Formats: sequence, C-alpha cells, structure tokens
Amino acid sequence: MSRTAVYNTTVSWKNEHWGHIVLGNGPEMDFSAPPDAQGHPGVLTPEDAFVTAANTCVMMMFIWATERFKLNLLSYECRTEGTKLIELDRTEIFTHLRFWPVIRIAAGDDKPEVVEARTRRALQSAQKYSLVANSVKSEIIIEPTITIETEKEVSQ
Amino acid sequence: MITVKVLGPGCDNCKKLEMVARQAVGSMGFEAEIIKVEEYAQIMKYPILSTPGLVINEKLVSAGRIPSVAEVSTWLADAAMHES
Repeated sequence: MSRTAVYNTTVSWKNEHWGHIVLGNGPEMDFSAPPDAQGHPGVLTPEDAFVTAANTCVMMMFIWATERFKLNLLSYECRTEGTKLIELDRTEIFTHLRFWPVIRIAAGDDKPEVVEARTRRALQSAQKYSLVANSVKSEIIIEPTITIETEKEVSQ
Repeated sequence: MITVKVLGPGCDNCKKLEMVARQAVGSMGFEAEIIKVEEYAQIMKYPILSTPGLVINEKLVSAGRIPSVAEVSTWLADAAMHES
C-alpha cells in the first residue's frame, strides 16, 4: 500500500533581491538569484538548490546501496551540472542533470570485475530509488569513474 | 542474504533458469542462496500458472519463461536494496 510523507521549507522576502529560507530539517540561510539574474554571489540560489537536491539525494541513495550491496566504499565525490534551456518565450527548464561521480571501492576478497559490476548496479539503484531523481523531469545522466582498489593499493 | 528459489519439476527450462540465476548471482557477487523447489505442492504456494518460476526473497518475479541474466541481476539488486 502506498504511503506519503511531507517535507517543508519556508521562504520570506527580506528586501530587494534577498530572501531568507528556513529548511524543514533545521538550517536557515539567506538566498538570492544568481548574479546573472540580478541576484548576489556567495549565497544559495534556486538553481543551486535544485542541482543540490538531486546531487545530495543520489549520493545518499548510493551510500544506502553500498551498505545493502556489501561494498566497502573508500570515497565518493560527485560534481553535478544542471543544464538550463531558455525557450524563445523566455520560459526556462533544466533539461539535463549530468552527474560525474568519482568512486573508490576496496576490492576486499572479491574479484575487482565483480566488485565493479556490483558498484555500477548500486549506482543504478541509487538513481532508481532517489526521491529527487524520480521527481524531476530533467533527464538524469550519470557518468561514473569507478576505481576498485586492492588491499595493497588501499594501504598505500 | 538473498534467497532465490527456482520453481519447476526439473525440466530443461528449469535447469536453464537455475543456471541464469547462478550467473546473475556470480556476476554481481551477491550473497545469495539458490534453492530448487521441485515439489508441486510447494510450487503451488506461489501465484504461478506455468513453470519455470523464479522467486527472490519470497516475491515471484517471473513465471513461464527464462529471463535474461541482466533481468535477474536487476531483481537481485532490487531485493538487496530492500533487505533490512
């Protein structure tokens, strides 16, 4: 049977092109638009928040998958870019979210090729079960760099 | 550990399915137990109309055909994601 859960944030206008946001999980901060859209540098923007939501969600699901798949994760870093399309009528849409995760996994007692296959499957599962990736209509593209390290390489 | 059951009386297709299941488990390195269920009464406990059938963690995922290794790998991954 399906279930629902609700998450919230509250924004308020401060002045000019400044706002303040309180996140449902606690943090709060000022935000603006990007500098190229009459906003300010150095603060949260809706564009960054959108890309961040997807990037963080996929990472958290990948962490979950590595635990379920018995993978010994050594490091994970992922740059994600959202590509914005500006239509002729000036409406805008993020058409793509492109992820470049760089993942290091310890081979342990398994064959490296088996661990790599399991890692790729974990990444697919992370995308499949990511709430945010599932919720956006932007195309999700994941281009991983996976390194499987032997015990000797890990200890170096 | 994931439990994989191959449902069928022991025909050629059942043996092929067992081989596919073993290949999928081996290629992914999942910890899984593969059990052959050949008794009719045990097979009929699952909502199955034709054999061979494949059950992963007590969920019937295919029946009446031999899925590919890639399909079985996907089902194994889904099962692993939902293991507590």
